[in-house]
Order: sequence, then structure tokens, then C-alpha cells
Amino acid sequence: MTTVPSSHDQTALERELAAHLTEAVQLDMDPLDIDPNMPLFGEGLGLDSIDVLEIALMVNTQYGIKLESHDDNNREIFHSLRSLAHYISTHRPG
Amino acid sequence: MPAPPDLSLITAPERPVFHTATGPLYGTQLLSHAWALAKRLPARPVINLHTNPLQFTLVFLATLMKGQYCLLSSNHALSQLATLQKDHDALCTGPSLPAPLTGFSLPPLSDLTSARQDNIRLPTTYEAAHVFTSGSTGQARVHKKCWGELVARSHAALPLLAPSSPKDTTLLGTVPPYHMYGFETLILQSLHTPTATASGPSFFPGDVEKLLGSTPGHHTLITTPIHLRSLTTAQAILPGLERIISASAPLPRELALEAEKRFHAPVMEIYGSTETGSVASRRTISTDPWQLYDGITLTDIPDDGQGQTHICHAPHATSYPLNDIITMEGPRHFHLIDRKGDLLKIAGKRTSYGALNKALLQTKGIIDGCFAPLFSEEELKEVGAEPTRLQAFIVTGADETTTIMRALRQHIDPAFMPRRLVRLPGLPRNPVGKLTRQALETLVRDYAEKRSHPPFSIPAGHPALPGHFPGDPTVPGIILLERIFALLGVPVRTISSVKFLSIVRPDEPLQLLSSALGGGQIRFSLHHLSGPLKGTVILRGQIGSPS
Repeated sequence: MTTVPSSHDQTALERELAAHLTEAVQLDMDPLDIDPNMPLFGEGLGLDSIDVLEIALMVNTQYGIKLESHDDNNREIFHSLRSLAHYISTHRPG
Repeated sequence: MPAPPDLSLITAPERPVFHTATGPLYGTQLLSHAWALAKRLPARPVINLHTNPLQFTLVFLATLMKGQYCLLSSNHALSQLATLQKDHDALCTGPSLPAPLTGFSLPPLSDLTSARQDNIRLPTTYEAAHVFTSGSTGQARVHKKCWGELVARSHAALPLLAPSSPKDTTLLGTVPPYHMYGFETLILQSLHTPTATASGPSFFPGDVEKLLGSTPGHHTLITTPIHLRSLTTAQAILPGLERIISASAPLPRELALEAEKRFHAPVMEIYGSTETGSVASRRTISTDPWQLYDGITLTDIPDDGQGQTHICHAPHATSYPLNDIITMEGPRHFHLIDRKGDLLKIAGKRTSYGALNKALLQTKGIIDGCFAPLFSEEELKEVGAEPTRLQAFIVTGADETTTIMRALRQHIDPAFMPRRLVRLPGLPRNPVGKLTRQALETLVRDYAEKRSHPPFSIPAGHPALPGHFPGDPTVPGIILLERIFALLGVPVRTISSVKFLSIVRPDEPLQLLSSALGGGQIRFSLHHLSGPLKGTVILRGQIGSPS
């Protein structure tokens, strides 16, 4: 069994996160097809504010990170798969 | 009709109207900041998109001081906002405004100082807000809210929102103030009654915990089913809640029970609409009927073929027919029987299937099509489940669906955007061209999303394992596929694709998810169920023969 490289060069964490993400927001898309730099909202994947809640819950359950909106950086965190993965890798407890 | 008690902008302003993480903001301070803002504003109506209650209120008060009104729209699709701006020659303000709108940014409070603190009184008939809903035609419909109506309603809602001591009650909401429900409960309530509102970020469960912890008083949580589920799932810690209020969509009884147990506070639901405002309440876990607010009355008019219609009357307000079928129990109580028409509510926003289908059918490349709820198999088992996601079934000659999605996004609020476009050779319309409810329900069932299958594992003693990978036991892919096909329970004619992404050890718990794509095609994915790789995809694929 070999790992098929993604067409978008997702990192291991991004690949795992993409799978959780499509589950969390019921996105009918192959997680491997998510371009890590594509905006999650608006013109990109077209997610909405309720999806942010779903994603935040998923990040909490899967990675033990509790998101808050205090420092107004949520737009950056939720910008793309890559930015979310970066936030997770730098805020993971332990 | 009793006269409303006090028509000034802020009732008894020598009290905190807002609590923030840095302390209280008194009514007198708020008036001074608002007068300073009013001085900077041109005399034009304002589309107020602020989500922070304090900022929203500042803009609202300053607009009233200029003799203008606020436009409130839950639909933030650019086309809707641009139309409102043009039709009303309005300014637009809020966080992250789309570029084509003429906006102004709110200066920080420290820049807004004025010696003026006078608390003007508005006439009962003053149109303070124009609230917009999407009508069944897709055209925005305006509902003008008069000051007298708003003041009277705040007082009528007070016993529900502040049951013990209004002056010690802090309202804390996850609802945006530009939505009628949030406007009434988080803005007007604390302007007109002794209550105060907690102002600060409140979107994520962590925000709510923080805001609750940093503001004084008995808190009443103003929320929606979606946010409440998020709070219970995240196991938020919300000590000392006095009440939880939910509105905007029906609240499942199980969720209300769980929330009451976790947060030790009764969960009350509000019945209302943008047209009527909040008009009744009940405790979700009880079997009690809805109880009308004081001053609200319902009268009925004869059956219009869709069932009895009830008209809602309130002080200083336009009377509106209810969108639901109800039965009265005495003059002050009613039971909700059914919803009328094809109204659709997601995330507190409202539209109708009619409006969405109209937008879909006007899209270039669409020959026929309709919107439908996107349900998982679990949701399909629930009676009367409300959709939180939509899909669209389309008939199109075009190969490319992304252009269709892009075109739709111009006209449809993100909350109602279809999660997927399902291409069909034709819609199952009846001989007169109507897509019956039954035909649509069948279609939705056939295309149900994500079915979870019971967990399983491949035992180390499986006859195919000995001899494979000695010393490093790994389950061969074909064994997994054999098991998957058995679980899917359909004869497999063709395997369109399978990708293996991760290794499976004997005895490791696994879970299969599948989703029907129609035409006999099934997409599936197998996941690790435990360990460090929990949730990660092991393999994904698609079977069936394209029709």
C-alpha cells in the first residue's frame, strides 16, 4: 500500500485536517482536492459563518485547541486549509 | 391601548447599559458618544452590519439622533446590500465591508466625546428601523418598525428575559444584532428596561465563557439551536446562568434537555418572526402551549385552503398573518401545528425554496433544477428535521459546475448556497410539470449524505493474514475492500476508483462512511477509529457504473 501524493502538495497535517474538515462541514468534495491555499470562505470553498463554528468544534475535539475571537486574527486563521493547519501546529498542547 | 412607559432613547440613563470586559458603560456615556458620532454622520439612512452590540447601538442611536433610520438585513449577499444602498441612498457600516459598498468606519470610543448627553424622546410612530426579509419572490421585503412598537415589546419581553431582578440581569447573546431577534433582545431590551447587555466577542464557545466570566450580574443567554449545540458539544463552562433563550429555528427537545442539565438553567424558546417580532414563549422541555406576551393578541380568519390563518396584533404595530398553522387554547395560549408554505430558515436567516429555485433557474447553463435539503441518513430518521445544509439538483448541458456555483454566489446568501450540485438527466416532475413534495423527498432520500456503518476490525486470525508481511502484520487492501463491499450491501459491478492512503493493522477498529451519488454510484471512505490516527482516511473510492 502506498500513499498517493496529492495534486496540491498537502502536508501530512493538511491532509488529515482536510479529511476532518470535509466531515465537519459536510462538504461533498475529495479532501485531497482541497488546494491548501484556496480561501475557505466566499469565492473559494464557499463556507459560511456557521461552518466556522463547526470547524472550531472539530479543532477543539481533534486537536484540543479552543478558539476564541479575542485578537481578531480569525480571518487569518480560517483563511485557508494551510493557515488553519499552521495555527494548529503552533498551538497544539503538549 | 396603554401608552408605552418611556419613549426616550435610553430609559433612566444613569445606569450601565453595557458591560464589557473592561467595565460598564453607562447610558449617559453612551448618549455622549452617540452625539459625537452623530456630528460626524451625514443625514442618511444607515445599513448597520455591526456584530458587536455596543458598536451596533452607537450607530443606531446616532442615526436616530440625525432623524434617520437603520436598515437591518440578515441577507448579506452583495447584490442585496448594494440594492438597499442604492434604493435608500444609505451609508453602510460594519466590520469587513465588501468593497463596492459606500461605507464609513466607526472611530474608537476614545475619539467620540461630546458634552451633549440629552436623551431625546421619539414619537411612537417614528420609523426607527427598516427590517428586511426575503419574500417568496426573492425580492427583499421591508418591515418598518416604529419606536412605540419597539419600546412596548421590550417591556412585554422583560419577564421572560429577566425573570428575577431586571437591574441585575445581563443579557449575553450569540445572535447578531442586525437580525430581528438579536435587535430586540440584545439592543432594545437594555435601552428600554433596567437590564444591561454584555458586549464583546461571543461567537465561539470559548468567547461566551470569557464574556460571561468578565461581566457581572445574573446572565440570560440569548442563542439559537446551532450555537446551543455548539456550546453543549464543546462542554462550555457557563456558571450561574439564570436562563437560556433560543429562537430562529425550532429547538430539538433532546438538545434543550441536555442544555438544561449541563448549564443548570431553564431553556425557553421564543416564537416570532421578522414581521411580528417576538410574540410568545414556552419552555422547550415542557408540554405547555406557547404563551403570548402581554399586549399581543391573535385573531383568526376563515380557512384559506392551507388551513386557518391567524393574525397577530400588537401595540403600535402593523398586524401580520402568522406563517404557521396553530390551534388556540384559550385566548392567551396556542399550539404550533405545522409550518405553511415553503419557508426555509438556516442560521437564523430566511428565504424560501421558491426564491432559491428562481435564482437557480435564472442561472446561465441551467435547463431545470431545484433546491433541496441535504440530509445525512441519521437526519432522515428524525421526524421533521430542519435542514442545515442544502443541495441543488440540476439539469444542465454544461460540463463545468464551478461557473454555475460562482454565478449562484452572486445572488444567494452563503447560508443557502448548495453544498453540492447533483446533475440529473431530468427532474421527476409530474405530468403537469410540478415537482411534488413526495417526488422531491424520494430524491433527497436517494441522495442522502454520509452514512456511517457499524465499526469493524479484521482479526489477527483472519485466514488471509498468516504469511503476509511476517513480523509486521498488515491487512491486505483486498481484504478491506471485500469487507467494505459486504457492508455497502449492494452488488458491485464496477470499481471506478480506490486510493489507499494509510496502513491497517489486524484488530484495529475501523469505520466506513458512504454516500450515495445516484445512478447506483456510491462514494465511500474508510477511517481509523482510534489511536493517534483517529479519523484519518485509510482509503477512499467509488463504485457503480455511471448511468
